[in-house]
Amino acid sequence: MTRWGMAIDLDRCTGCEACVVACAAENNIQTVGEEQAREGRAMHWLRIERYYEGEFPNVRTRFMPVLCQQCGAAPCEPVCPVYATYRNPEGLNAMVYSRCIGTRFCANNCPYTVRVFNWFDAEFPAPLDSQLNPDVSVRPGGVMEKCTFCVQRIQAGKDEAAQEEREVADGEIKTACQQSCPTKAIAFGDLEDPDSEVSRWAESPRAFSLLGDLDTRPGVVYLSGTEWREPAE
Amino acid sequence: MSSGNGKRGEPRVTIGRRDFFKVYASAGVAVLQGCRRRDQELIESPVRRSTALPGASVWRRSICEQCGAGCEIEVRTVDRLAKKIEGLPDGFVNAGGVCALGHSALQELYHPDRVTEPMRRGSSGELEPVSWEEALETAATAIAAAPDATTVVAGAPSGPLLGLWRRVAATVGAPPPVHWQPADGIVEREAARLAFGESTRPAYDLARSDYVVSVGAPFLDRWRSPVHFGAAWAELTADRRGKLVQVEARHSLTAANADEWLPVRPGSEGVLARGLAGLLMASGKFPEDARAAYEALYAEAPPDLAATAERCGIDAGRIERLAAELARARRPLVMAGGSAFEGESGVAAGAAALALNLLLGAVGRDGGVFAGIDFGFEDRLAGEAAAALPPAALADRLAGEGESGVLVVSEADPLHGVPGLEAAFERAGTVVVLSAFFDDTTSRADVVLPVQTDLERFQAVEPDPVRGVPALLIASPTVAPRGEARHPGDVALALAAAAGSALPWPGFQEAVESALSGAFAATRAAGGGASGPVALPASLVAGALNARQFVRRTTDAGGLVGTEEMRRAPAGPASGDADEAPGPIPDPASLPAPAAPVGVEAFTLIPFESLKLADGRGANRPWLQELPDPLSTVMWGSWVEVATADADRLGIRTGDIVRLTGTAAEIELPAIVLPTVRPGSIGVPVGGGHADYGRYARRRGVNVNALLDPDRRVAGAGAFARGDLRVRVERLRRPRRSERPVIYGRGLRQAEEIPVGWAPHDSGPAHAALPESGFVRRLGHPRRAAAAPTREEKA
Repeated sequence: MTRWGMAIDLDRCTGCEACVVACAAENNIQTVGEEQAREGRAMHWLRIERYYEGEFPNVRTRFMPVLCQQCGAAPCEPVCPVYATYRNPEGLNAMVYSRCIGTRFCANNCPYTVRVFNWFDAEFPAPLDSQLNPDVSVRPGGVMEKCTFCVQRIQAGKDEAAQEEREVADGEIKTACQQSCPTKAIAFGDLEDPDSEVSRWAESPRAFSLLGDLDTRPGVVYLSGTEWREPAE
Repeated sequence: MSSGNGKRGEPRVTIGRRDFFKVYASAGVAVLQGCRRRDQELIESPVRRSTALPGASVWRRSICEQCGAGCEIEVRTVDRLAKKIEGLPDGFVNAGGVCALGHSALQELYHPDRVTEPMRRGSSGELEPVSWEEALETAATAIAAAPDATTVVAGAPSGPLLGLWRRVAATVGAPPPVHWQPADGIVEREAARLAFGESTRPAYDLARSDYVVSVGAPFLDRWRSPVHFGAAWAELTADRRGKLVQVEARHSLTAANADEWLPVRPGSEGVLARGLAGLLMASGKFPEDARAAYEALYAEAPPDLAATAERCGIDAGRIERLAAELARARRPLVMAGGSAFEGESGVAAGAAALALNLLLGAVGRDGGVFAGIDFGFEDRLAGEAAAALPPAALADRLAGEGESGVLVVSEADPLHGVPGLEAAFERAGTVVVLSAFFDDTTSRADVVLPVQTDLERFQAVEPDPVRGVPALLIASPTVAPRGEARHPGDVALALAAAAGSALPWPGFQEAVESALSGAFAATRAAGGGASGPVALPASLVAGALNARQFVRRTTDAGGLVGTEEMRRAPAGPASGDADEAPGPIPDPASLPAPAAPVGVEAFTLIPFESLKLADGRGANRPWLQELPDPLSTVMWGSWVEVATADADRLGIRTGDIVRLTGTAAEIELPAIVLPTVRPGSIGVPVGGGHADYGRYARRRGVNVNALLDPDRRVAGAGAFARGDLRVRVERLRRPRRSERPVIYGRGLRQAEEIPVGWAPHDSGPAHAALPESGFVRRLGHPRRAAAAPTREEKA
């Protein structure tokens, strides 16, 4: 059985945010405008967290992309009164938009703060709506949403493989964030396949889970940053 | 059947005939049972005149022209509408990557406030729609009446389109066009001429180096090609093989990612380079001829360590360690750019940094610096026309009180970029603007000519040098143009024709094809081997029988791309003829230091290009406005970065409104207090505060360019000096609700410490200290839950 997973190498992430815009373009994420954003209602499915260590002039900065961790034991799922969010057989923490009644309990229970709520209906003033991805529904007001691991791309990749009567090859399906990353800091694939790139990355001694002590069993693995040291003569 | 997101690189229309009928039969039945209207739509669809099936994805190759980098992209189109931009996996520059600005080209294309029809200022003083013929005639009549009083401002990157503007300006009898470009590129050319004897912008082989000192070049932010250099940086630092040292006063994204950041005093980058040279020469590790080549450039000896440390405000021990590491590195490289070039002595500072490569033996070797060569298609299209002028020439031409003649501005917004030009634009007889938007300059226009954006037009681009390999990239339009928008090159030719000086080509594409054809002929005439100044490398024309076939093959193949073997070192300081050989380079260390701060509130202003808004062109895209800046996390609007120490002293808290006062203007904007800012300096992103430019940019943020002094120039380069500007900073008030900076408040809910393990500098094996040493402090932007809307808001 497939378990879709992602690995993010923090050594390679520059915080350039190409992934954030790629995600918005792929998934029809609405922009809410200055006033709404000021109230904390921006809708990004993926954010770049920035961390500082030390004081000037010896200050260090690190970036960490944070998106839905597609938890194996997701705190968001059991609190939904209408089962709008559930774990699908391939390890995706899926959302049924049409079932969501907007209690926001799931967002409240998510330790990664990656769920966003549509306080209003999305607006895409014409002809900006010409850009909308026909493979992804535009969510109405009152509905919770979050990263889907680009499930429409997963589906398209599986359809294509089935059409050609073969298995989905490793690296064939790319998420939007992964595809646009200039430094190739993101790997995506099947964590159950020991030979997949994402599995190899996840085996790295640098690998860790975000908030690992909560035991949410995330499908996203991070590779921690390291320091340069001078090679021996 | 294949649809949706198929594989990239080929049109995804691989539906079989049998599948087609199966799908449509089943879909038809399903829909018939439901809703009649949908059924009608479905039956209409198959008879649409399109080569693609309705709803199927077609991927088209294109070139991103959001900056001069020349990233090759693939655009997913569905039903002839552009949906998504991806990097071309084997793209010459970008190898599959796209930056945030590149993605947003879609929102430029489909912007609700695009100019889609020609306009002319009517008797009422308002712009009114007119036909193309009328608009062109008005513009051409004004040009033909006073050709020598016509000033052309071309905003296109260097390359064929700029060459065409040069040709058109010369043909109608106007002076050479002003090339509206960032100061950086012009200063870089001049610095390279002094250091390397050749005024091409240097190309850097970052990926194959093992120790890179970047003097001011913010190559991961918005400089040259952040996508190419991002990938090269990742290769450099993979498995911690190589090190990046960023020498820059501001804590840019590049500084944030560097292994070591040297926050030098603003304007002292060149002094540090000279100081390093002194230490390197004293180390005795470099061959005598490299040393001699470097020493020949300067009349003075480099400053000693103590003087360098004093001028740069950096600990002497640190500079010494850096020099020692650099001397021990196997393939060291020094890059220069950005803030190092932007002060009045930018040329001297840039040359000092570039010249270090002579000493390090980095010129023309793998992991080093190369000449930024191209195939010369700008000159091929320009013919005999004179070279374009630097931006400062515009201010000089428009200086004085008399009438400014005719101004033709193409794809540039000088009124947003430099203060003090408004009066000259008011005095101009006719202002003709070619633009896709009502930006600050367009709103002053008498004639507005709508132009196509990247994806709508035929493209021929010579990318900015990043690899040292020449290229001419060509792409056909991806989608149909909106409204009546035309290609700016076609408009230039139409203007020339209407002014009575027609050129032999009906459009830009024909001009490029003619240049290609000429290049083929010249190459064949050169004897099939020798590459003269007008010839291409023989290998590129080898397969074609005749010029026509060569042109067709080249356009079909997406252009001409050179090979790594074509890379070469710059000519070298000694090779220029005597008239052109530069004298000794001014030593930055012997130039006077910028004036000392006057009182506690005088700061050095560092305007910078953020990856969101770039030089301002990104400001009209909602994706980019709502993108949190990676360092300040600010969305929508402008901000000023203030050091923690300065903020404590002046009583400034994050969000407070502060006033920045320059010599001629003042601006007010919210402060963001950061521990990474060098005390005594402040950073403000450029690109905010447009007078117009569509609903998302209009009066959003403030325009820091208002503080620039247009009379300050980078010596010897004809560029406006943006660096080392002194401003007064005062706190005004806590922000009103509507003034609060929009800070991205989301963060991890439960952790102030997360297991990101990195060892402190210089302490043991890279991976040994995980994860115990990991300690990360979140900066104190309080986490906020999204506030539920009020009843009024809901209404």
